[in-house]
Amino acid sequence: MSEWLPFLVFGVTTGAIYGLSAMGLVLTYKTSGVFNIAHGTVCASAAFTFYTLRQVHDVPWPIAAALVVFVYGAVAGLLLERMAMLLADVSVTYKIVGTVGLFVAIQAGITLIYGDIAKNFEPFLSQDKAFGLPGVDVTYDNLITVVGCVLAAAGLAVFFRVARLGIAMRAVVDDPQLIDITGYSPVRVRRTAWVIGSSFAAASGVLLASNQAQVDVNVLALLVVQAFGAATIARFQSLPMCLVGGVIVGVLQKLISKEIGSQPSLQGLDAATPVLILFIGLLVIPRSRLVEVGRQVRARGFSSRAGKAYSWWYVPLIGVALLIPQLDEAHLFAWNLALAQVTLFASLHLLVRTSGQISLCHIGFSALGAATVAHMLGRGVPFPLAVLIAGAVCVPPALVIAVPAIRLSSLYLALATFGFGIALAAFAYGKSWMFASQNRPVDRPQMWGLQSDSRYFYLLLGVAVLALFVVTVVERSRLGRLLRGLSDSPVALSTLGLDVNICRVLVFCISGALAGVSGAMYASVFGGASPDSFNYAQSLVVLAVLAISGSRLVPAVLVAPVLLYVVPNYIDNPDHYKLLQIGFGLAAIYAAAASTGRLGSYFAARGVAAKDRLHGPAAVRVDRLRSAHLVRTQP
Amino acid sequence: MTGSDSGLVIQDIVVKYGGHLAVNRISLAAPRGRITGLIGPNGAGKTTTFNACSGLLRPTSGEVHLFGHDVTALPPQRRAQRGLGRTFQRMELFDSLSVRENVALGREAGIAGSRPWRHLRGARSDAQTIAEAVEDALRLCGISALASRRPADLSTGQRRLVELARCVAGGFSIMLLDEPSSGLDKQETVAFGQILRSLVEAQGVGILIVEHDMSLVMSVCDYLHVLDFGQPIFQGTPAEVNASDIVRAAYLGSEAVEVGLPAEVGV
Repeated sequence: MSEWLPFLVFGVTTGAIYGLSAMGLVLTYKTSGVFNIAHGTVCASAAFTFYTLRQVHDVPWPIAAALVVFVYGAVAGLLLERMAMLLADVSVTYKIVGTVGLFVAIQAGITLIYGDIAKNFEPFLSQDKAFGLPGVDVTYDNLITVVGCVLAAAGLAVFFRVARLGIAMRAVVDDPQLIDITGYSPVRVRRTAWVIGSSFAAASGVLLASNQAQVDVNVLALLVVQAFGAATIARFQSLPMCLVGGVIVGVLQKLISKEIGSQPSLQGLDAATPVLILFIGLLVIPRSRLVEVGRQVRARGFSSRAGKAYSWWYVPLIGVALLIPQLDEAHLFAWNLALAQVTLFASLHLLVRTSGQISLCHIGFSALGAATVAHMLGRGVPFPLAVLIAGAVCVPPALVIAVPAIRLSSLYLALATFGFGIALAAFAYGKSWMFASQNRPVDRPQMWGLQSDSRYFYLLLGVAVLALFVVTVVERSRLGRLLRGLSDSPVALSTLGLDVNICRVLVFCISGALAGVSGAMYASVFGGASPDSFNYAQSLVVLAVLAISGSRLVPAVLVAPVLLYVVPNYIDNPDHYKLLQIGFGLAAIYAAAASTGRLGSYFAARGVAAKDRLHGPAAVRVDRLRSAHLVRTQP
Repeated sequence: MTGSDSGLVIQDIVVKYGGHLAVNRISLAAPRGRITGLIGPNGAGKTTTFNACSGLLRPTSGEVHLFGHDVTALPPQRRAQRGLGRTFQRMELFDSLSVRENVALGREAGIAGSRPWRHLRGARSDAQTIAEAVEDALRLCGISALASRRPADLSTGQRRLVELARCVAGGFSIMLLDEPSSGLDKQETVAFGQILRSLVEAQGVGILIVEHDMSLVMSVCDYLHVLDFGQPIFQGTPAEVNASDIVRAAYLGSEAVEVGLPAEVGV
């Protein structure tokens, strides 16, 4: 037992922090209907702020902690509440796109200021022994962390049950107008929830950084995934259960890390634990228990409009494309990368824009495709066949992800895909059947001078045109009509006799296979496949860039890779590239908020809200009208 | 009434939302070749009954039979494949598709059904079947001229007709129409009633209709079921319903009946 106790103690401590983070996530989700994918980056930004105050400006830690949790948390909460308001009336898919944009912007912002490398973070709580257990000393920082998280959970639970504001928070998401006429301002209620949620996020970020003695944006951004696991155990509803869920995730992670220490084939399984919990939760929790919170808005205006597949301007466009190797030789490598990714964006367009589904793991499929093509070519399989196999290999994992999540909704599909991408990177990238932490060679075909970038450009152009043709044919086929119908009204389709889940799984598999093909071509541009080329966070960046690239298939999938690969190639200063990424993220938030074309009505509502602040909420105005009427009718 | 010719039959349906009893032991039949009305004040449980019939919610107890088969446990698509179509009170149109594509999906969705291969590719004969079904449905509903427009650009009345045409193109034997005349003006309502009658008389379909417009109900329905607070309170022909004190009390309140307010229910 004594050999397990240290892992249990560490697991409970980190688990309590996960629980604190999950409470913030679930609280804001329950009160706004917006599931903040960027929650981990909010934690990270708070930890970096604490780091700056304490280690750069020598502010005493209690003051730094208070400033970060109460001031930074409050300011972040107020800003996030504004964003949530902008996203309140858009479809679930666009809500996710909006928070993905926020993730991209904050992560790029942090790396712009602090760089990509982790910083040492001096633990600020006492690490003296509080008491001893067999085989392990429990330190004060462990004790304070756990007790603090438990008190926060208990306080929040009491607040929700007893305080009127807490009860109003539970009601506001169902009908903010009803809350309004009871005399409570729904904006105030939401704002309070976001402030509390962000303060919890800030506290969890600082505590985790202290626990790990380092502050790393890539690690802290993943706090949202640990929170997924904890929130799954809480069925995305119960706040106190989030803490329990966090502790379960933390303990399981540590115990698994102990067990797999001597087994290289299982390395990374501990990091994938929250994702496994999420998948099991999606499989076993009844559908009725995983209802989405918030107003359910149909994805009006989100579907891609079926364009004319063979518009006349495609011919001169291809003509101009053919001249790129001559016109812009200096940036030809970037153009090649962009062309290789046309297939990726086409696959994502089909999934996201046409069918209204979502995927936050398409780079994971690309990685699978890249690793597959490397292995196939290594075994002497001809290049075209290897690329096709790379696409086919992605179908089974696509099925595994889609089937449990697809019976639920876009939100849970997003969580499942995000989790899958991270689990794949943590667990599989390092294995010999994928990259094995090395650059696996992906040789280009030995013919027609394709070894040169300028010749290879034309092969990539051909593949890109073929991918566009395939997606166009799908969009104009029966499946395309069914997918657009699926995006507009799955309920209507099912009452017309269609099994919509088959339709969803089909499009997810087709899209995954195309992403696998794009990964194979992408790796062939580099001449090799390595884990560094397929960072999980890139899945979020490609979604954000697709969101801002227009709704029509051909322009969108041509503009997006140019924005992502060619434009940065013209930028010499890496800081400017970070700024560009921040721009992508913010633009994605705007694109999400404007998706229903009702951004104007939001600003009109702001005008009404401003009047409310001057004259009181609706109920007060009704009272005034009534009083005025009585005055007039009195003799 | 559960034979193969009986169309839709529901028996002792009970639906509870948590502790709230929304529908309590409702039984009714909607056979082919008849328009059956389901009426009642707001909150009577009409749409809940519809959702239980079409499979969008599972009743707490009771059974739903379609042409003699127990379909209580089947999802909506399986009921649709057995011949049960419906429209919605809050219209569920495919706004990114044209009117013609909307109506075509009425038939295509059923052809694709639960067969993955059929989602991807149609049989050779499908194209003609679908085209004929679409033209017939557009013509019957009088919206052929709107075929290339998008539903979002149409009036509420026209959108109602598109939803009906989509249901007609599906070739369903039993149709559930949920407040199909809301948003229509007087003339459009009369024309709508004629379309429903011609559907029943020419194609022999059975219709179960929820409707608040009593003029439409009384003019097109062959038989009526009346609900109040989730309970069945009366059934009979339109004339019998019109003469019923129970129904008048449900609509106007029992005091109104006692003091002898006009006998007709909202007509």
